Amino acid sequence: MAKYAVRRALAAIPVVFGVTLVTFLLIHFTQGSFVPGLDFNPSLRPEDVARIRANLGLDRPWYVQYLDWTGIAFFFKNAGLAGILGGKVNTGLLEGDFGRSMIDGSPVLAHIGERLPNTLELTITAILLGVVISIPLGVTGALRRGSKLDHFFTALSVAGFAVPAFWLGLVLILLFSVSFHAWGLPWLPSSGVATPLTGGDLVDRVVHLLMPATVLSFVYLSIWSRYTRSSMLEVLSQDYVRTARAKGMAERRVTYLHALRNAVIPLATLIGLELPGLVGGGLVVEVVFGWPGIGRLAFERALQYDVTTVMGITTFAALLVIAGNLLADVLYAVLDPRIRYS
Amino acid sequence: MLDTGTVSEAAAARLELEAGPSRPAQSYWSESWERLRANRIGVFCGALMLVLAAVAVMAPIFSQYVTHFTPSKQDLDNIFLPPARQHWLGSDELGRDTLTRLIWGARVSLGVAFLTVAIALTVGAAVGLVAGYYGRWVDEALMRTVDVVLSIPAVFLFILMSILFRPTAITLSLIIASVGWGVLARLVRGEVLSVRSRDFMLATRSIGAGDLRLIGRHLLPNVLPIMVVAASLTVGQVILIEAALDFLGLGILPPTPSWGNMLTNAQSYFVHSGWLVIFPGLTIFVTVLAANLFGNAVRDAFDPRLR
Repeated sequence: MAKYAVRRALAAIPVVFGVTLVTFLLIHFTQGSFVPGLDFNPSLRPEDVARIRANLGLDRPWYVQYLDWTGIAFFFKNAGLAGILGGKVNTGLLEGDFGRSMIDGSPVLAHIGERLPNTLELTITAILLGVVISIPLGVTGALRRGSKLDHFFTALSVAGFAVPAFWLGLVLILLFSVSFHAWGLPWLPSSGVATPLTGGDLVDRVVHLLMPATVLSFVYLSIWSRYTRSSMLEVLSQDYVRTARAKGMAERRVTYLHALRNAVIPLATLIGLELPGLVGGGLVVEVVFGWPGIGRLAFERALQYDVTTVMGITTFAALLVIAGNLLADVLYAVLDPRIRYS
Repeated sequence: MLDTGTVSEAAAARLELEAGPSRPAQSYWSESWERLRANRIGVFCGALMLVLAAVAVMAPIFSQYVTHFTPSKQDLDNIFLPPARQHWLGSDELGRDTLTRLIWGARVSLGVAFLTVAIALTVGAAVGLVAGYYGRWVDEALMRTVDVVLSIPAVFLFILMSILFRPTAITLSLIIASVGWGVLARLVRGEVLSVRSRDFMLATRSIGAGDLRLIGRHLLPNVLPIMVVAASLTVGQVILIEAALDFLGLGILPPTPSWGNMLTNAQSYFVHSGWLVIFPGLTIFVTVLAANLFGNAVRDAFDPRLR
C-alpha cells in the first residue's frame, strides 16, 4: 500500500513540472502585457522601458526566468551554483513563494491564504450537501427502479446537469432576495460571507452560505445521484447480495450494510475528482454571489491584467488538483481491496 | 453514465444466441441509426437542435421578417419594456429587442460549441490514436501531456488565456478546446488499446499494411462510434462553459450578443426587469437539455460498450 502511494507520488512529479511549464510559457507568449501598456506608454523612453524590464528581470532568457519563478534557480544558488544563471535570483515555488502581484507587489500566497478559507467554506458545504442528498436519492431510485419517484429523480438530475449555475444563482437571488424582500417575507442576503459590521455570527454566516452552496451543490447532486443509482443497481445484482438474502438476512440490512457500502466506492473516486473543484469550481458562483473566494480573486485580478497573481493562483490550484488526484487514487485502493494498480 | 440493466441485456443476448439469428445481419451503423430513430426523446431533441441551428444560420432573415429588429438597434424611448406584442420577449436597457438578440446569440453559442467540439475531437482523436497505436515512449509522452493539461483547473486556464488572447468566436473555441481534447484523447487511446490487440490488426499487418493504413483504415473506423458518442455528450457542456465565460466577460464581448453576455448586463437590472434574466437563461437551459438528451440517445444507440 505504502509502496503504491509512493510510486503514485513519484509519477506526479513530472506532471507538476509540466503544469508549471505550461502556465509559464502561456504567459511568456505575451511578454509585453507582463506590464500592462509598458511598451506603448508614450512618456517612456525606450531606455526607460529597457530599464524597467531589466529591473523586473524580464530581459533574461525565458528558461532563466522559469528557473527563477519555480525556485530552482534559488535552490541552485544556495548550492553554490548561481554563477551559471547570472543576475538576481529570488525565491520561487520550491521555496513556497508563488510570486508577487503585478499591480501592488503583494505576495500572491498572502492573497490566497486570505481567500482560501472562504472558498473552502463554500465548496466543502456544497460537496457535503451533494453527498448527503445524492446518496439517498440514488439509493431510492435504484430500489424503486422504474417507479414514478425514480423517473422524477432522473428528470431532476438531467435538468440539474443542464442548468447554467450562474443563471440558477441569479434566479434564486431574484426570488429569495429581491421578490421575498418586496413581498415582505424573510429574505436571504444576496452577496458576501456575512453582514458587514454587525453580522458575522454563525447564524448570519449560514444564512449567507445558503444560496451559493445550494447552487454549487446542484451540479454535484445531479451527477452523484445518477452514479449512486447505477452503481447500486449493479451491486444489487451481485452474487454476494443474493447470498446475503439467501441466508435470510433482513432486506434493510442487505441494502444498507452490504450493498450500499460497495456501491459508494466509485462515488469516492468521483468526489476525489471534485477536489479540483474545491478551488476553482465555485468561481462563477462566487462571482454571482459576491463571495470573496479564491476564484473571484483570480477573476478580479484577471480583469485588471494582474497576470502574475492569476499565474500564482493557477499554479496553486493545479498543485492542489494533483494532490487531490493522488489522494483519490490511494483512497480508492484502500476502499476497494480488489483494486491494486501494478 | 453507466446505466442500468447490463444483466437483463446480457440475458437477452444469450436468448437471442440460443434462438439463432432472427433477422439478417446489418451493418453496425445502420443498426445503430435505427436504434436512434426508435428513441422518441432522442429524435425530438435532435430535431430541436437542428431547428435551433437553422434559426441561428438564418438569423438575418428572422430579424428582418419576423421580429423586425436588428440585434443592436437601440430605441432609447422604449427601454425595459416587458414582453408584449411589439417586443415579444421584452427590451433591454438600450431598448434592444431581447428575442432578436437571443436569435443572434444562438450563432455565437452554437457556433462556438460545434467548432470547439470539432477541434477537440480532431486533436483528441489524433493524439489518442497515435498514443494508443505506437505505445511505449510516444504513449507515455502524450499521455503525461494530457495529465498536465487536465491537472490545471479549467476555469483558471480559461481566465488566463482569455486575458492573453482577445477572445473572438474562433479563439474562444480554441481556448475551450485546448482543455477539452485531453479527455477525448484518453478515451480514444483506451479504445485503441483494446482494438489494437485483436487478431484482424495482426492479420492486416502481416499482409503488409503500413502504419498510416492501419491507423486510418482499421483503427479509426473502430474508434469512430465512441468518438460520435463523446462528441454528442460534450456539446451541451461546451455551451454551458461558453455561456459562463461570456457571462463573466471573458468570452464574446458586447455589443455582439451572446446568451451569456446578455445575462451580464441583465444582472444590473433584474430587480425591475426580471425577464432580462429569465429568457436568456431559459434558452441556454433548453438548448443544453436538448443537447444532453440527444447525446444520451446517441450513446444508447451507438456506444459499443453498452452492447
